[in-house]
Amino acid sequence: MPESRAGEIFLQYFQANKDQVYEYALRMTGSSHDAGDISQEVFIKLFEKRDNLAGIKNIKAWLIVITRNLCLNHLRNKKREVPLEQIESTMPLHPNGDNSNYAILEKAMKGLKTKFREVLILREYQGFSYEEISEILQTTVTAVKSMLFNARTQLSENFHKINNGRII
Amino acid sequence: MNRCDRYREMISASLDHELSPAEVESLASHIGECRECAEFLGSLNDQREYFAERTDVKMPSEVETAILAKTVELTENISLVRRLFSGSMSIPKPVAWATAAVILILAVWSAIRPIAVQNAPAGSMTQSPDERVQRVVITDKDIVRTQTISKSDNL
Repeated sequence: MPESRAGEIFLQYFQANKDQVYEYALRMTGSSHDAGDISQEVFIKLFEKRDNLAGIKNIKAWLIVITRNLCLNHLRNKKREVPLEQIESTMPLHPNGDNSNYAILEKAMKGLKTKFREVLILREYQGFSYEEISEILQTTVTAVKSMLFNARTQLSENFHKINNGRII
Repeated sequence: MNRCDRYREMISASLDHELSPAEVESLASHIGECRECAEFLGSLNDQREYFAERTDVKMPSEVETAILAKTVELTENISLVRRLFSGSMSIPKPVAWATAAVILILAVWSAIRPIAVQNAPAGSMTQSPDERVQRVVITDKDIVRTQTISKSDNL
């Protein structure tokens, strides 16, 4: 594939970031099909920019910004705010079974508002720093700190509701 | 935001090591005397542990293959255009001449056609002497009917 040095650099970035982009899209949309489509769109955009990649300061954050925008458009179109009561786990990611704490946590995540879910995905799954999250979400570090606090509080409440059998 | 809320926000930030040493000290002192905030810290620590149970998500190989295939397709399209314009890709001479002739004929025809239509007699929609047209005929019994004739016939 690589016809040039730019093509080789694209391949390096693709290999280094493909799983992270896919995971972000999967956790935001809850659908492996949609995550595949969004990932493809993200990397085609990267490929089309391959001659100017040197101008991008933080490629990982740049890719997540593109992925995030596509996910938000997708969610807006599909209006996917799923009520906690209707949540079915669609991701086969529970190594310890569907009743494991992690499986319950994942269900609790899906019941969060999009803005809380995404800030937790960026921090807990993707490992971005507060500074990077503020760049991705185009907000301040203080706002990120506050958002994470609210997201964790809400997640904890959702977790206990599910775990105490009030919902399932 | 009350005093405990402020400390709980600090508890959340402490999980990410985003507190200054002074804040860490202040928080530790508060947790020592506030049971609710100590419980909140415990629940966030649990949360952190549960997140750690996750398995890694990998991009499925079919998605990876589709992306790389698309980039190959784009590369081929771009290089085809580049080769055509740089002259490094040659088209066989007969094909080139035939294509040029067809383009020339089409260009001349499209330039002449509007003039021919413009100069045609009013009411005439025919383009060729052999084209057949319909005309209205009134017979001796005043019956109106249509008749198809050739334009080369006497109209």
